[in-house]
Amino acid sequence: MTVKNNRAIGFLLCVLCVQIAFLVSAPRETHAAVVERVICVPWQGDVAKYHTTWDSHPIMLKCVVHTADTTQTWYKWNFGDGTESAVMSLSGQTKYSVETTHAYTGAQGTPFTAQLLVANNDVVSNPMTDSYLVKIEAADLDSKINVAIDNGLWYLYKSGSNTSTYYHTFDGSPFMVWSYSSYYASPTASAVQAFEINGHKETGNPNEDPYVEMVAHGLNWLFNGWFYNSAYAMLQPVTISTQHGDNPDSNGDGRGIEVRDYGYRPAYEGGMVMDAIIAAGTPNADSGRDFDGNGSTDTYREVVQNMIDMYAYGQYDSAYGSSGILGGWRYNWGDWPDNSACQWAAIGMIPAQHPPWNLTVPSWVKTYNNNWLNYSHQQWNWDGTQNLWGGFGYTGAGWGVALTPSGMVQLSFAGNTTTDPRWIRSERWLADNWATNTNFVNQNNVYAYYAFAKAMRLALPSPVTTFAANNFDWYRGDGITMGLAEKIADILVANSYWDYYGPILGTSWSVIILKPVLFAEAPIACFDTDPNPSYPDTTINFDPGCSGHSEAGKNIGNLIQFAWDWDNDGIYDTSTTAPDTVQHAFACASLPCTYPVQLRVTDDSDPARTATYVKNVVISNPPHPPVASLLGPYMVSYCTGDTLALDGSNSYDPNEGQHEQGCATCPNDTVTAWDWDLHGAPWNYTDGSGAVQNLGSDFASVFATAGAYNIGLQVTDNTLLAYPNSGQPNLTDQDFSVVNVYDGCLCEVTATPGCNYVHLAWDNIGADHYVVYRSTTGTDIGFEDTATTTENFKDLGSFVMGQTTYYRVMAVTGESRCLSKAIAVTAPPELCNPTADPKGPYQGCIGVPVTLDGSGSTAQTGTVITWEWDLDNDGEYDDAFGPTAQASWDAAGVYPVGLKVVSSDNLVLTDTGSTTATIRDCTQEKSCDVNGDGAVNILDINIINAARNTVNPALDMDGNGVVNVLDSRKCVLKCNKPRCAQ
Amino acid sequence: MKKIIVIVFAILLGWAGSAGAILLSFAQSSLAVLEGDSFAVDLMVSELDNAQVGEFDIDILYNPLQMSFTGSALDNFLGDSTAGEAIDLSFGDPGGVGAIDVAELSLLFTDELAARQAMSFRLATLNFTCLALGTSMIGIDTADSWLVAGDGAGDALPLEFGSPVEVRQTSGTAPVPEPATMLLFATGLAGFAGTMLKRQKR
Repeated sequence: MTVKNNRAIGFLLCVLCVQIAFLVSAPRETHAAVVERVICVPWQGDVAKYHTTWDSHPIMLKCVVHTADTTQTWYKWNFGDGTESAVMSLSGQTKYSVETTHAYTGAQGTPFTAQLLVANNDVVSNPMTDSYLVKIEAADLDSKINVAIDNGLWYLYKSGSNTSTYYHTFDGSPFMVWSYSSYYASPTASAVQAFEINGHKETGNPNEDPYVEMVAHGLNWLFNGWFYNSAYAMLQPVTISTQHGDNPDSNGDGRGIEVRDYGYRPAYEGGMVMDAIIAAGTPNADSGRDFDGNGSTDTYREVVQNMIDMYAYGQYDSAYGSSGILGGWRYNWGDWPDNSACQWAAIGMIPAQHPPWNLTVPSWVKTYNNNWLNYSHQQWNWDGTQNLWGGFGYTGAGWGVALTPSGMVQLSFAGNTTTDPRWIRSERWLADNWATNTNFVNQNNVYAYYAFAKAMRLALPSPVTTFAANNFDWYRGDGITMGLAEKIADILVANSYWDYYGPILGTSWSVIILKPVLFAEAPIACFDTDPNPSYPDTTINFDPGCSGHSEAGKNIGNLIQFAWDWDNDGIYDTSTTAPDTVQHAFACASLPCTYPVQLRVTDDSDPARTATYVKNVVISNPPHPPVASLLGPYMVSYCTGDTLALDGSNSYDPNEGQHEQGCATCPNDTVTAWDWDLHGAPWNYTDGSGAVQNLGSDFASVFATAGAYNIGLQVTDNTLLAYPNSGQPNLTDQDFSVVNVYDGCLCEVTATPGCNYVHLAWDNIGADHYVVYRSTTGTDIGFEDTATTTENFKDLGSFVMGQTTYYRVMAVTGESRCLSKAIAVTAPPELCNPTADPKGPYQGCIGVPVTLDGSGSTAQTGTVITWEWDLDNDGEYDDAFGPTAQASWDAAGVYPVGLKVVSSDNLVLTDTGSTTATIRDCTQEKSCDVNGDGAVNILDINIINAARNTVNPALDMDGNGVVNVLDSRKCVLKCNKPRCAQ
Repeated sequence: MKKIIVIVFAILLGWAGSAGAILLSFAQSSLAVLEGDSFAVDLMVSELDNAQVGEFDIDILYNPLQMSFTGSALDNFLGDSTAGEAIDLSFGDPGGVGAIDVAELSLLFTDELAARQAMSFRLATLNFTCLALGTSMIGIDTADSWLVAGDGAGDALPLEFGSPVEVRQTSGTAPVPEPATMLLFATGLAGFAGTMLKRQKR
């Protein structure tokens, strides 16, 4: 074999090797499905919100994958903490619910961004992805509630079905069905309601939230669905008429609407369907059905009104002895009532009367219902003066764990308050039998729990959060006895569902019970404490800035009250109307002490919605851990010259300046290290040190592309040296923030300040609109959206003179965003100077006071508060004071008059003005009554005019030696009547 | 009616007012009119600067050989004399001697004057008829010892004066000034200016 041949063979072998290597390593794409969408579940329907977990707790990550066909596709999870799953595959469907469990570890507040990567190849290259945000919170009840809701909703999502051949809609539109036994309306309604009050509305974005489509299709099923044949519609109109002289037809269309369903329990199912529609929050939305036969499809509001009319029509309404006409409902319309069915009428009609629905429930319906409650109430347990306990029976006087709270929610429907004796006795029975005797909380009766939660949430005049008899918080418990929230959350955290009347109804009701508001999204109560733990009698800061709202479009700005209960006794000790940081100190006679502090936030809805959050504050001996404080979120652009400085200098040690008692050689405790992690999870804090990370314009080397970056700061103290006998190492704390990096545009914004405003201008780059951000904190932090415009300029008020304010402008075009560099604006307060107006020039006579008038002086901001006059021309404004002043001079002459005014609101500003006063000797002035008739009028003026341009001392009024028009004018001013009339 | 050719030069050249004084002047700096036709000049006040004019008494000089005074009309800035708001005290030029007395007294209150008057406005319009060819001047008699303009309080206002109006009386079209005409005009202008300067110094 020649060298040449050897080379050829070598070349062929090389090519062969490459081909083999390619075949081995190349992604397999043959017959792979095209990935259309990857949508991870956003917490509360908001892609910016974090799902909750706690340290080391395995939580479920949940996403939905849509593919173009049923062939194979591949996926893997990147957990965002440095780990990822193996590659797995999917096939056989075009829509997949993809879930996994993962345990995150870290300190409270540690954020993680997990990602689901899906691709048409088995190495998941060039994947389509979506993010799943997770944050580690305290391992407490609030975290457990969040995880329980998260799990329960995912279970419901996976349980919806649209594949049965028995499912149809009248117009062929898409639907989603949840079912129990032969019932398809109320399970669907309760599942939909559970989604809706957790921020997943049909009005949401289905490309960001997989639950949106489920809710929309579920509502459509309620309005337009039928099972098996169209005789079994979920809703159907019913002709109604006057009952015993009472008109149930509030809207006068002659019809009501009942839940027909396949199994017929209209009084039971109706309330749940009404609640699902009401929780949509859109009264004017189109149901797609013409129930009332007027030729046009009905709005949600019209449907709910007709369902109310149906309940009014179908109420039992016969007189019964001395009880009067009894109301209430049962399986069939007009049947003798039972207190199981009755509650659903109440829970459907109560929210229908509130804004924005404002629907009509005839008063007689409530009156008859109240008669029924009198009839079916039972009382017992005589204490010598009264029966302490009470309850409600099934079809007459009696008692039951579900029937009693059912009767209580009817009490609220009928307008009775918590002072009603029936309520007092019933609540007392629940308080006394919560975890003993009957042991209500451990009945594991979700039906009873739901009835009870409805009764407490809908109590009048305000929801009941603690029992009056023993101050027990029925929802949260007291740390010793379990509350209802923990009871339910434990089940859902462990199993994701509760099978009671089937897993759909049981799980839906459980999720609804866990929310503080039944028919709408609730506000979110949240606060941070620092330092915690701390010393006795030492100020602790409580910052509610992490509070917010679950409803799309609402945020912390919609919260109108922040009420604090320092010892969790149900009495709110202080409140603010803004999310201000408040301080409180706790005594502790015998360390350690733990104080459960509760925050209640109230929103601006009508009716107002509230939410609470409890966090324990620990008062203990040192050493205490340091407090990491990382400001932010940060905002920066790639504009040339833009810079970024990350600031952890507010971190501190609560033991600062102290050390172990009796240890003369121990140094004081203090923060000794600030360690930064600029690359997110896994959090190793090795990217820099020092209280401030001044990245300058080099930040682009750390954050190379536009996006949101999680950053962390860990501070460490010197406990080991300061408290050597504590047995503790140096203690640490972490804080986290986000750096939002944008592509640069509009890099040079110009600012022209005026008095209390600033005019901003920038290049018009043809964006859809521009958003102006404002900060008073710095060039990178504290920015809030303050204005939106389609112009390339904006005048902004709320501009504080003399204070540096920072602005950035974001250009928004479709989904694209870019950002300007920050511009710092400091305007001199003098731009708001007042204007001194001394009026004048003045004329006067020697020794006769002249009234100086500075009242025309004006202030640009606030009001003019002082007027000071300089009458002796010495430059000192100390000769007279007030908006008007009297001044006189002793000799003839022209005198300068100076006025200085001061205006004030938050600034004290001055201005000066000047004029003259001409003083003459008036002693020789003549009387203008030259004809001596006792009046100065045109006759006198004519006499003077006739002598014009002559020498006549008698008519020379100003004594200048001649008679001229000046003399005439002086006398005109002395005429007794206008125009010198006679 | 013969066509009137009026050329208005609205630029006052080289004048600078004294601080605090009001300016009495004419709206026109020069006019070219045809022999036998009527024309008018406007007596103006300006630079009022927060002051008001409550009364005035001003004499206007003109050449009676080249034009005749046919009457004057007051504006309403001091009040409407026909409505009893002001008194027209003008004597006019009853003898046709070339000196027109224009005078007015306001009967309004000072705040009414302030509301009615701006920084500058017209006091009166003087009407003339062109009698003969030539060039002559219409100007304020700044030497008149009775000349006065006062404010709303009846106190004299310090006065400054604008240039007189040059009136060129022509026949047919407006002619190119001949050297003799230019000399006559220049001589007249110099004399007028000299008189004013002398009186101001005095």
